[in-house]
Amino acid sequence: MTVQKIVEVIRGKELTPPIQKEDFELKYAFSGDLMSDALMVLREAPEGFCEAGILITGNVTMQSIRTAEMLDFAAILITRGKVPSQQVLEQAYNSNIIVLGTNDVSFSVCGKLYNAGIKGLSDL
Amino acid sequence: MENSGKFTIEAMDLENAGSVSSNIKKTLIGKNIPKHIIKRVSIAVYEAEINVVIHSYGGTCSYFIDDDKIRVVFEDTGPGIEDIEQAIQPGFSTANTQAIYYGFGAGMGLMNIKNASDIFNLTSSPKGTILDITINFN
Ligand SMILES: Nc1ncnc2c1ncn2[C@@H]1O[C@H](COP(=O)(O)OP(=O)(O)O)[C@@H](O)[C@H]1O
Ligand SMILES: [Mg+2]
Repeated sequence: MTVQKIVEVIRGKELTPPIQKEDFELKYAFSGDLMSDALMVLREAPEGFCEAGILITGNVTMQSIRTAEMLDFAAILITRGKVPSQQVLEQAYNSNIIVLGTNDVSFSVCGKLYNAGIKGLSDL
Repeated sequence: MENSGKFTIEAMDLENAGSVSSNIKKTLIGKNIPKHIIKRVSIAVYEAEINVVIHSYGGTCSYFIDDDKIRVVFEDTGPGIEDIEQAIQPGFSTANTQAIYYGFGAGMGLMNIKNASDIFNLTSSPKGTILDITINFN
């Protein structure tokens, strides 16, 4: 799924300025607010999972961006209409990480993406 | 690219925490190392850096890259870990609310670091904690 298509499916918006990612296709997602959880569960995830994945979280701090960077996530989706600070968005942009936002709660947006064919770790 | 380096880590500076790990990760990307190994190192170093930030009075991180491995040493100035066995147990945490707000304090960091590492040495006294890890490249 392209970034444009995701934004459409979740009825959300892109919070970072457009980032050029060659042939980027979203295939996978992981959802959670505890960064340690993501770091543990995804440490040995199949090759390419995070690179074609989006981290869905209500964590709008600098550390959600850092976590995405360490895990090589292509994008982050911030739920419940929370807005990251300008510094956080700049950090994401400089790390080549797309930040999307939605007013949905995590559960609802996960459902929408799952219906659209995005897979989780348990589906592989 | 450098094969060794040393950084300072400030206590409770959760805005800049992760910059040391980011630096080391970028250094490894410049070398011919498998991607999944770089991810493993990044995760271990990041959890360890966060621990120095959220649990200690501040410290340093030194890294040494060889042809076949990386060694990373974190040293801080206290207050130390009372019971290391207990600290490594998943779920044990003394993190404060600010650390939790930033997404840490689940008590899973040390176990994750241990599982990611080929050599894991953790020693501690009230004067400080030393975490010394090595990850092989193959
Ligand atoms: N550098 C350190 N200095 C003092 N205590 C530490 C240090 N690193 C870890 N600890 C102790 O070990 C516990 C477990 O650490 P960890 O598994 O990383 O979980 P968390 O960081 O989520 O609490 C911490 O809550 C803390 O009590
Ligand atoms: Mg920790």
